[in-house]
Amino acid sequence: MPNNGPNVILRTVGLSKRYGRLLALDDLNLEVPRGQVYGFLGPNGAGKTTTISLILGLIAATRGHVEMFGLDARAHLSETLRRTGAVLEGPSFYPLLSGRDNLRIWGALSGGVEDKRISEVLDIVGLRERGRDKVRTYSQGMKQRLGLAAAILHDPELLVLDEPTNGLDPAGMREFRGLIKELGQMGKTVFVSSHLLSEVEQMCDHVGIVKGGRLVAQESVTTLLRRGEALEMRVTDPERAVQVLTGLDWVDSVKREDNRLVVEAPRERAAELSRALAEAQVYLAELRPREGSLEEFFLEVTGEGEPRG
Amino acid sequence: MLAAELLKVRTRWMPYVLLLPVVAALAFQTFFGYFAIWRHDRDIEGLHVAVLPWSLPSLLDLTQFLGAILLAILASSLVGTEHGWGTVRQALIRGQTRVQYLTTKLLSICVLAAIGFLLVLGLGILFSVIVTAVEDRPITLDLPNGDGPSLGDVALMVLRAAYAMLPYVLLAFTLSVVARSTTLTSASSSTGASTMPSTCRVIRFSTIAI
Repeated sequence: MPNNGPNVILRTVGLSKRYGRLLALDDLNLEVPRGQVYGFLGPNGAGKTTTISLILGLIAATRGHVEMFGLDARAHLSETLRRTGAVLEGPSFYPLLSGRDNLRIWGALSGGVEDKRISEVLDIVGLRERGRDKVRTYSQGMKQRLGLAAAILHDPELLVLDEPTNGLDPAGMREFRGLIKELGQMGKTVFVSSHLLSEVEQMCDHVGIVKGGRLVAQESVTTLLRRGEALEMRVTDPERAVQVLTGLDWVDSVKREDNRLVVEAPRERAAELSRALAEAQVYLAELRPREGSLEEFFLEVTGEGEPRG
Repeated sequence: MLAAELLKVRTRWMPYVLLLPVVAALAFQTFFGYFAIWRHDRDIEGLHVAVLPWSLPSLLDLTQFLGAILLAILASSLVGTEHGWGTVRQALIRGQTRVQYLTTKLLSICVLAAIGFLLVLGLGILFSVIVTAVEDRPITLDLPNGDGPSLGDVALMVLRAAYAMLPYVLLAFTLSVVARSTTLTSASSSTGASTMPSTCRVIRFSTIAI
């Protein structure tokens, strides 16, 4: 039975999908908190689009199920989809119709929307001026924005976006990220898949990382970044410093990188660390905090040399 | 949903373009039949394809024959292009089931077919009315021997013609759903629509001969 807490809007339970001999998704257990922007990260071919297709009911799971809004998504497909907006990879439109008419059609399929609402969403995505032009005259970026307009047209609680910045230039990507952040601030839950780490780091509150069809990590971005925090230093006697620091119980690890030491320890204990070294006749030449990055974490959990584009 | 389907079709040029050959063929049949075959050659066949009420069966025959071919093309185009543009998935992620999607599509094609059929037939009757007036005959369903069709008969003839087109629309629709190709489906269903009646006739005569 579905058992979603009030704070989980989307959950996958043991979700698996097999295409013949290929296991595209293996026992995926995602939890997307309500009102958060959730980044779904993974290299190409990791199973991101398969997961989204399963969430949206476009394909059937081999095993497991999806729960949305506390309901079994497969059993209540129409209801759950009416509360969801989605932008699939490479959004599709009727090229011979204007952007406004396309939205009218999608609105009619979602139970009908007023012209005023169409103008509102065109405003949100910055397409008001071009709303009456045929979609075939739109650039890729404009089509992506129209896709987002179509997704938010019926004011859904949950937005599912599959690689929404694909094909956009850097300025378009930044603009799109801004739009997604704005939607998050408006209280919408956004589930966005991407293979761009910096993008996810900048706009998401939570992140799930998938590799080879398996979920390898799922945490809040703040926790992940904090986990990567460290103190970087140069000292007069590195050998002795390593001995001293490894003896401190609040130091997680000490690594040597060239002539520097990277110490995994809380930043706020930097003064204590300095004193401990000084007491052992080791003096600091340089001490600075090092920020954690999603990229480091991603590479660590996926074992990828370089995240593929 | 039906309104959304009709909005999509309304802004496409194809349905309007497809009406043109049928209207042109009806105009040709009526005016050529009257002026060239009846007025010039005094062949009674010319009078019968042009002047009311004799012209009704020929109007319906031609509309049905060309209508079946053109509707097959229209149906396969309306379904096939959706697959080509990728808009089917967009409809499905909005809570429409596949059955709802296909039913709405088929219904909209039937509505379009009915509108097109009645429009073309209306124009064909208008051409016949013009020719009947030129011939200075009364515009009526009654024949000189008092043996003309009743309004009920005409309605039945119209329904029969519409019914005869239906299988080709359904064939084109089914093929385009399965094959997801406009060209392949248009070609096969319109070929079917144009050759099926004569093929059936050949089979029937062969069976009788045997």
